Amino acid sequence: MPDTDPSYDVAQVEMKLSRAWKFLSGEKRGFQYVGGAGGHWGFAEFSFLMPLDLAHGGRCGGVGVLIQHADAVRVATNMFGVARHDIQQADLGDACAEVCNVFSDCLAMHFSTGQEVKMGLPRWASPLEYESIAEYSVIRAIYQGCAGSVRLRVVLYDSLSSRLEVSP
Amino acid sequence: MKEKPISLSKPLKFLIVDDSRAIQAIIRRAILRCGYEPIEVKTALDGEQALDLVESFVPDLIITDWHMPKVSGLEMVQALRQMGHTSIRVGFVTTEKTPALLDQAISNGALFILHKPFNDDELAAAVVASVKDLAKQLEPVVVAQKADVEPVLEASLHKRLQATLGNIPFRLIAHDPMTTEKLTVNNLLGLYVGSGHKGVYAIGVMDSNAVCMVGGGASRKLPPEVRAAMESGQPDETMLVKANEFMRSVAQCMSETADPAPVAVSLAKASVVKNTFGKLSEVLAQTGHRSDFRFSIPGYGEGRMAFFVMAA
Repeated sequence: MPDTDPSYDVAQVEMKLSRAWKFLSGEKRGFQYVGGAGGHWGFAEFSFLMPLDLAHGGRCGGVGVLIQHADAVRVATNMFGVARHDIQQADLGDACAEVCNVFSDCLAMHFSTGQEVKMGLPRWASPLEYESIAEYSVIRAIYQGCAGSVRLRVVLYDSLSSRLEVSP
Repeated sequence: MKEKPISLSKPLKFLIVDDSRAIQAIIRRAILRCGYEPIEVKTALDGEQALDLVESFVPDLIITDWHMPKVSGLEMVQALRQMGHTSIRVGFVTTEKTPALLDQAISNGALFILHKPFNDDELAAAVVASVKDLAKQLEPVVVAQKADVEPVLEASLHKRLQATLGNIPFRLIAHDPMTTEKLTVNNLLGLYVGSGHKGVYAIGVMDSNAVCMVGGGASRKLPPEVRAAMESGQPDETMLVKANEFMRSVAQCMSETADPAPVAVSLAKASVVKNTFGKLSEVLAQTGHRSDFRFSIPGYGEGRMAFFVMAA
């Protein structure tokens, strides 16, 4: 059982992520907090990053969303309302960017207490970029939702390596 | 939403502005669910594209995202107004929740601000509420047939809310029927009596979000206080008192629609009940003689309320 982050309501974030996933994929899935600082992360085929900035300057962080192929297909078929075989590769990326957008909103308010947080635009991160993020950035929380062996991870970064910060 | 298509003499025109084609698809489906025929739907990937498109395609309603590359949704709406397009209606579908920014959208004439995640019915209801007067004008044959008596008319309830909330901006739209699943844990239940009627004449239900927003707005509480009460599902005493007063004032709306008139309706009792309260699910299952609404205040959130006239 991982330690829970005491500075905000973890159960509320879990509930928001589940609700968001139902909207995006049409599927009911529970999300759990699985770790805080120093926790593990894993690169996935569709790995997206949403930059978070404090409105009046200061630290920059972000939300990483790591989506495996099966979930990317699930979310794209639901959002585009088409059959699996009609989905193009670009559709998968488009749908996953929106997953990153909506999931980031579930976590953004917990990036800072009392200060306004500005969300940027989601962007796809290459395996190399994610490797650097893991090496140089500070993880605050990881949430995970599983369906069988398919694993979807949402990572809140308290600070990002300055090389990787993305202007909103 | 609409089961039968609503035929129009000329197309209703919609412009969807979102950098996600996936969200564009969801919005397009919600528009189709409204049942208007014919319609024209065009899309743009950002505010800049939308502004270019409006030169040749003037939509009746723009449904736009907020955060987009190049020109944001708010910047696009501001530019539209400056260009003289004051009659184009606009609604936002967004994750943006900053109260000051939402106020700017409202002051630029945004008719609705729907936060993601939403469900298709909510968006379709918002679209219908935004264009129903235009659609009415475009209906070739007016079929004035009222299948059911609505105990509380939207316009009438709107006035009551305005009287309660003063200058606080809010949105009220007729909505899909309230169900037990959509209720909050605590809810305000009002029992109304009517002159010449034995027993309960009507019942009103406000979920705790609606109670906090109406009660908190009426008592001029600060947004953080109201949002905290909504999150906990526990309106304070002042909010409850003000929500009770509002519920009392709704009796007048019911008197206006009583059929056969006249019936003087008044609130006999209001109390907080849990969503598990047995009688509540019976009431919510009623299929006719009911009015259901979604109510929102930008920056606070949204809640639901419904009113039921009991069968004789």
